[in-house]
Amino acid sequence: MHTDARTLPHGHLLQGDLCIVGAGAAGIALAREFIGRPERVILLEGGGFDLEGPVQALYRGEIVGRPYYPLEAARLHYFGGTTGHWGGYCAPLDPIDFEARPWVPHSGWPITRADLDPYYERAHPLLDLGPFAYDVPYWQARNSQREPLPLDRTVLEEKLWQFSAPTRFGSKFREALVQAPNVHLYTHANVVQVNANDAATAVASVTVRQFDGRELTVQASRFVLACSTMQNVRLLLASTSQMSAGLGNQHDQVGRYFMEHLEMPGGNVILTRPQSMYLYAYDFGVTEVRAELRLSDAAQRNQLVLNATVAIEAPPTEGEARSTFESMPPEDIELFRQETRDSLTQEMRSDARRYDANSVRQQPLFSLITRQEQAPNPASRVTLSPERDALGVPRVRFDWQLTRLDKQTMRTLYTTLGREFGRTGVGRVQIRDWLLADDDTWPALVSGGWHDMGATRMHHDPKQGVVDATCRVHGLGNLYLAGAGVFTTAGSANPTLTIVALALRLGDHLKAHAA
Amino acid sequence: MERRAFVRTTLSLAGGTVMAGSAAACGASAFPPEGVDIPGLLASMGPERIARIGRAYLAAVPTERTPELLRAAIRNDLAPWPWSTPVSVPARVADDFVQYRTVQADGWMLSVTEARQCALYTLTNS
Repeated sequence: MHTDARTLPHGHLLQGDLCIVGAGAAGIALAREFIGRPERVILLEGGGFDLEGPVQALYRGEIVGRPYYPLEAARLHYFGGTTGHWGGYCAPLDPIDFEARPWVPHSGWPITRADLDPYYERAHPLLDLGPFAYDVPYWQARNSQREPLPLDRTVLEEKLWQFSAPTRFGSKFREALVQAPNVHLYTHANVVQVNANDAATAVASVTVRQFDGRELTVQASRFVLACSTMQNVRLLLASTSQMSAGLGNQHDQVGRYFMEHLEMPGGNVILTRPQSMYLYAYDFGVTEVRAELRLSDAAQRNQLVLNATVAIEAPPTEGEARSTFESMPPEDIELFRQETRDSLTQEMRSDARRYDANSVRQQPLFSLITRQEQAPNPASRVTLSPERDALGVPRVRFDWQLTRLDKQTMRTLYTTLGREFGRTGVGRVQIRDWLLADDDTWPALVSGGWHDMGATRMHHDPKQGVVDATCRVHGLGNLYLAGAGVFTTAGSANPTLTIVALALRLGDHLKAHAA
Repeated sequence: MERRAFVRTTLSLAGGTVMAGSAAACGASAFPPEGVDIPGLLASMGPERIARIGRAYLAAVPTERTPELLRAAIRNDLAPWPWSTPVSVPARVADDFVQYRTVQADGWMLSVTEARQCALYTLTNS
C-alpha cells in the first residue's frame, strides 16, 4: 500500500508493528523482508518517488572540518535513497576489518565477517550481482584473461569488486512494496522527532511534519532508523524531549567516529613489460569483476597500518574529472584543478586517454587511485548546527577529521607498491610529493568516496558505541539503526553491499525476536 | 603544489647508506659500456622522463656529478670485489629493491642502480 502523507490531516495517528524510517538501500531491503508476514510494517520516506528540491534541501548542512562534498548532494532524499545515483561498486569487508587491531585505536566490531557471510550472499541478488565469490582463481577459471600480476601475495594481493547494474532500489522494489498488503509506504513523511517513553527506555512514537506544519504521529512496537548516517545522527540528537543530549547519547557517542573512504590519486605506474591488465580494468556497465591491489593482512600487521587498496586506472580526462565534481562549490573545484594540474606533468596528461586493457603497448601509464579506510576517530564528528531546516529541525554540523595513521597508511601502500613493482620488474611507481612527506599533512582537498560511515557505531560497550551487535540502540529496547552509520570500522570496500547485508541480518533478528 | 625534484639516498636498510661516488671501478672491463650507460627503463619511460629523473638525481647527489663517477658507482655495485662475478644490471636492480636500496627521483621509486643510469644517460645525452 502507498499513501502520500501530505493527504493526511493534522493530528492523524498511524499504528503498526514495525516502523522503518527511510526508504533507501537499508530501509527497502529491510521492509521487503517482511512482505507476506503477519507484522504490519509502516515505511516512512521523507521524499516522493522523484527528487524534489525542497525535500533535498533538508539535507543541507554546515561543514566546519576538512572540506567535503555538499551534504545535500552526498545523499539522495527520495524513495530509493542514494541508490538513485550510486556507482554500483560492491565488495564485502575483509575479515581483518572486523578484528580489534591493537595498532588501530577504537577498532573491533562485536561481530565477525563469518557472521555476515550468509547475509552478503543473500544481498547479492538484491543488487543484481553474480555469485558470492571474491577470489581470483574462481574468476580466472571463467576467463583466463583475468591474470593476476606476479607479485608477492604475502605483501600485496588482489581485492575483487563486483558491479551492480547499478541497481536503483526505488524502481526495482517499488511495485513489490506498494502491492504488499502488510507494508504501508508513506511518502512525504519526514520524521522530525523520535519520542521516547517517560522512562526513556523505549521509543513510543515518531512525529512526522509537513512543510505547512501539519503533523502526524506514528506508533509502533519497534522502530528502525534508516535515514542515512548523518540523518540518523541528526534525528537522534534532535530528539530531546526525554533526554536533553539526544536519544542514545547518554555517553556522548552519537555523531562520533564519522568515517569516509579516502579515494584519491596517490601516484602513477608505468608498466615496464607487456602485461595483461584485464583483471584490473574497469569499463562501466561492462565489467563483471575487477581487482584492485590491497596490502595483505600480514603487511598491515607488520607495518601497523590500515586496510587500503589501489585501483590501477587510466588517468581521468579533464571532462571526467569535471563531471565527478560538478556538484561541488567552485572554490573546491578550483582546489581540485590546482592539485591535478600541479601533480601531473603535461606529458602525463597527454597520455591520459583510454587504454586497451589487453595491451601495454598503447598505454603503459596508469593512475593509482587509493581506496582506503580512515582510522576510527572520535573527533571526526557530526553534531547539530544552530541553523534549522524548513521543518524546524537543526541542521547537521559536520567536522571531518583525519589522523596521522591515515596518512601513514597511504604512504606505506604506495612505497610498498613501488618496491614490489620494482622487485618483480612489472613496472615503476611514481608517488606524489605530499604523500612522501613523513608527516600528517594532506592536500587542501582530500576526496572521499561519498561514503558516510560510522557516527552511530556498533560496539558491545555503550561507552564506545551507539548500537549493540544486533543494531539496537544501547538503552532503548525497541529502537534500531540501519545503514553504514553502524560500521565500527570502514574497511576499504564500498559500503552498499554491507549496508544491505546488515539490513537483512537485522530483519532476521526482528523476525526471530518478537517485540 | 609544486613538484619538488628530490632524491632520497638514505633509504638503504641493508648494508648501510648508499655511498655516492665512493666506488673504485672494480672489474670495469667486464662490462660492455651499453649495459651500464643505457637505462633499462628507457624503452618504457621514454627519454624525457629519464632526463627528469636524471636531473633530479644529480641535483640531490652532487658527489656523482660526472659520467665517470656514476659508471664507477654502478660497476662497483655490480661487482663489489675484484674477485666478484659481476651480476647483470637487471639482477642488480631487482636486488636493489629487495635490499631496500631505493631512491625517489622526480617522485619515481627506483633502484639506486637505475637512478644512476638515468643520471648517466642525462649527462651523456645532453
